[in-house]
Amino acid sequence: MKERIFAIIRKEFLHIIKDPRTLYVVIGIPVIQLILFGYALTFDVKHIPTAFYDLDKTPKSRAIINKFKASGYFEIKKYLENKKEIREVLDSGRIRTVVVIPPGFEKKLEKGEKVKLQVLVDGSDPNIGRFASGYATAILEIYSNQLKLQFLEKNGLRLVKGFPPYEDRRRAWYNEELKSVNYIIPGVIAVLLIYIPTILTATAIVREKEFATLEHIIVSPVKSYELMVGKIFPYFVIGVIDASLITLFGKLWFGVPIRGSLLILSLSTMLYLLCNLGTGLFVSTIAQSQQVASTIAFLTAMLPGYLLSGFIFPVESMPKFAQLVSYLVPTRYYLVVIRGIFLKGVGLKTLWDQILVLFVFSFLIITLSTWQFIRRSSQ
Amino acid sequence: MSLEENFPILTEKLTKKFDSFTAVNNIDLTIKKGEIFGFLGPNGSGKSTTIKMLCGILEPTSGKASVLGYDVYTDAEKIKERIGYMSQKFSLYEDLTVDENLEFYGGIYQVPSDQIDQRKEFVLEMADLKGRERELTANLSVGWKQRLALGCALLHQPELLFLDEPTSGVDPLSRRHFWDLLNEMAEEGKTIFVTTHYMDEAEYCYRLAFIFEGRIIALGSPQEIKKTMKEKVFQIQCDQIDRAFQILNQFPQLEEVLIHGANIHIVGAKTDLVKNLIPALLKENKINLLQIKSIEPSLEDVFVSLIGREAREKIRKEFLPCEPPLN
Repeated sequence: MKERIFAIIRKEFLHIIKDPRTLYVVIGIPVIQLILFGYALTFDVKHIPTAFYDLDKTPKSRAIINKFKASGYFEIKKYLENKKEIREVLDSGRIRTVVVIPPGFEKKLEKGEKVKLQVLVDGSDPNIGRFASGYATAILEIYSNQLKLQFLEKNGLRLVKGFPPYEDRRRAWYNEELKSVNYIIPGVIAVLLIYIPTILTATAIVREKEFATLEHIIVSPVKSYELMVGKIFPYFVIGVIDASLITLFGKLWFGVPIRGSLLILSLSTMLYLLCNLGTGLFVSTIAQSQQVASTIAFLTAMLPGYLLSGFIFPVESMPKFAQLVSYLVPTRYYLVVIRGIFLKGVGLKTLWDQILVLFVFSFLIITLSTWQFIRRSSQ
Repeated sequence: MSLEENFPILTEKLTKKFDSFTAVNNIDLTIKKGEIFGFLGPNGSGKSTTIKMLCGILEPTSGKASVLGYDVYTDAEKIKERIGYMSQKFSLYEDLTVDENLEFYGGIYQVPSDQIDQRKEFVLEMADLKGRERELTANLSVGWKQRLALGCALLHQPELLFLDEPTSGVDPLSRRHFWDLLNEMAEEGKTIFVTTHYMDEAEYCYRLAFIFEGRIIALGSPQEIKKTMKEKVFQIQCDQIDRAFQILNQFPQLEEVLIHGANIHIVGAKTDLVKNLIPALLKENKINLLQIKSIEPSLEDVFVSLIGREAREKIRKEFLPCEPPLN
């Protein structure tokens, strides 16, 4: 029995080593995706292209402009000369924010009157729009508080303790700098581990159907479960190698912290891999060609894994129906585990329920697909 | 010696039904040790289903079958260990080398590690592949692939070999070479169960069974089968053979008209009809008739006549009131 499984495993590794495409899928795709996601998929909004329409042109109005510049969130690209230009620059999309400083800005300030600044934001990208208006509000508020203080001092009202009456000290736990790469990389590991095991396992088995080599294996003394173990094991190993590779890359290249236990991370990664290998196995029993296998794997494993797991869009903000479906997506649970271990450094005490679900899922999927595989291959 | 040792394959009323369709219908086979047994029939006649049942991968619906003394219902796993199997698709991994393919099949048939080198050596010798062990299988020509596939099926030294259309798509010279190999193996005492649709190959078999619509319609040595044929066979030599064939084929009285090499064969028609009708027909169409003679039937003639008879009987059964013409 061992010899037969061993023969299949060795053959499978030979296929992998000999096919440059498989090597590309195994090593190339994870690294490329990691780099792409790490750099491009960032929710941090910085250097928002901004234009000023300064109708005042006084030291005070320039002070405001400098505050925006100094924040790092806005990059001043243009000073507008007339009202028509506002529309033009926002329409073109090259400018995302326009700040309008009204005439008589400085004068009114000195008189202690209330002045209204207009901040126009391009809302076609809601993410940038939201950030831009938030940052602008904050900058203006801080500046206006400074002005209030100056105004009070100038008028001889020395301040007693406790003005302003409160001050907020913000601190983000787990990810102090609020770097989205720290949040993204663990997610990328989770979604990469869907693609590789599912598609590779499915196509590796279906290929044997296509070339009729499966027919010979079925006539041979190899038992269904031996064939299954022999076909899955190499891709399990590859999954583990990939997981380690991306984790290492994320840690060394992007400086993502790993605060929790590597052991718990490894064990839950293996459970998660089993879920996806099982899905691949199941797909292989229904597909008759590699093309069909990839398509089914893409639709049933990858799409839900990317979209319904909370990888990019938080589950809490999904419509009710999508939330219900997301309970069936193993990636959802694994994401909680991997983010918990990477960023929060939490352990079994917090994650046991998610890991338990992963265990149940992998058990069910492997059992179901084994049953299906044995039933199909003995026909 | 026990019955099973002398007869590696024994079946009795072996039947396989898929829902209402009967793929194999009450087949009785007694195959002797050391013979090359040919299993012939058109596609869909039940050949593959029979092989699958005998290899232990498809359970029969009813009937008995023992292979190498093992019951196909209960001892399928033992059967799989001791038979060799090769199909028209050759089942080789094209991205692996000759040696890697042999290693793999050696592994799944559990050839002991102290014997594998010797067995591989033997197979390479037999397949004439010595010195090409490291070549990619994809680069071998079809004939070599066929011999390598046979070699893979022989690595574990099975006493019984199932070959499912092993020569389809292979050039005539390689086919000849392949049959020489089979003959050598049979002489050494291996039993070979082979399906083919090449009638010339059927002549090399010690015994044959014709299977049609799930039933065996003829069984015996090629000579015996030819003798069972009651109808006469006429060979016609003429020019414009394709046109002549089309013209003659329009006459149902001539029963079976078929092209056989460069000649036309008429199977099952009455002698005086052939002698009178054909020269007149060909003359009318300005086709030069060279010769008409009555000949020994070939296996193909027998097969066609048997199937024709089957089909005619079937028609008679299904449409009783209207008899087919001239019968």
